[in-house]
Amino acid sequence: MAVLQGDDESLAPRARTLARLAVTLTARPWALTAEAVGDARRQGLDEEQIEAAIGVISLFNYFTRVADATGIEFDYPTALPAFEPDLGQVTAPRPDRPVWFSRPAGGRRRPRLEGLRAAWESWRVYVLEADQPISQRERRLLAAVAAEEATDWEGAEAFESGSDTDDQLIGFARKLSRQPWRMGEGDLERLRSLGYSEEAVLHVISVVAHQNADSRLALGLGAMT
Amino acid sequence: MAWLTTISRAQATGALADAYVAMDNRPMPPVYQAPHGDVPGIIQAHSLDPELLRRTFSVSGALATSGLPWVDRELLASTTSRTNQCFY
Repeated sequence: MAVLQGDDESLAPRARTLARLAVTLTARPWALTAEAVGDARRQGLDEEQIEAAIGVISLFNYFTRVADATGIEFDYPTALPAFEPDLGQVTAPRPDRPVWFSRPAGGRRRPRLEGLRAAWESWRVYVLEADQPISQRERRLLAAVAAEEATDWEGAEAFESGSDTDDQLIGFARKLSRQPWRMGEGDLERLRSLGYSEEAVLHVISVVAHQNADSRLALGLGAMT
Repeated sequence: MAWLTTISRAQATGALADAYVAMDNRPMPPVYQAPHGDVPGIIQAHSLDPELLRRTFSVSGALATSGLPWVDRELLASTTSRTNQCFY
């Protein structure tokens, strides 16, 4: 309940540390520091558990965006008051892309947990590299916007719009990345009006949501070193 | 009713029906069983592409066996959802 009420002061120290890790990596991924990861170590989490924690937060940055964009309904009855999203929640301003950016030695950081690394990579390849039902170019465009919104400069390819359809895709990716709680049925209708099939709409959503997760995974793992 | 087309358990055939059976057979706390008896909405949201469904939920399966306690995973998931103003 404390988490649902946004009251982490009433949580035990270990839970409070984990909750703060989740809030930072979700809302301000650029602000996750090695010190925050150090707090988790001081609460008794080992390296594999911290890696898994970053994986859970990242994966739920995927699931929440899929839930918000597809308009699925809640599955479970509850005695608690129905959740009402704060549609006026303001997204933290993103810092600008740094003038100088050096890629980390050894390439993009990936999980050391073997099972997680293999499952994530299989997922990533399918979502970002398939050529049906949307093209690889469309996937790269959507992913570049989402990575930029996550301030994942290593993953954010340069991109530019070449058409009205590109403009619509860029707008969709920005909204779903930045303010997923404001997604509505009309956002899907706009994609359908451009000729996207239901399966193609699913893939547009999936690419944006996945890149939000993948960028947070890379930034989170980067803070572990 | 979801905004995106989804396929229920009763309508599922072929690869999707197989994927739903595989999801049903995963070890999970009883509290995750949807009381309506159909496949949970977040899984059905992927139903137009069973391969996407399978690969996506393989990641949650890997995390479930990672050594991070269930209570910690629930806390992280709940906090992430709340931060994103999402009911899920």
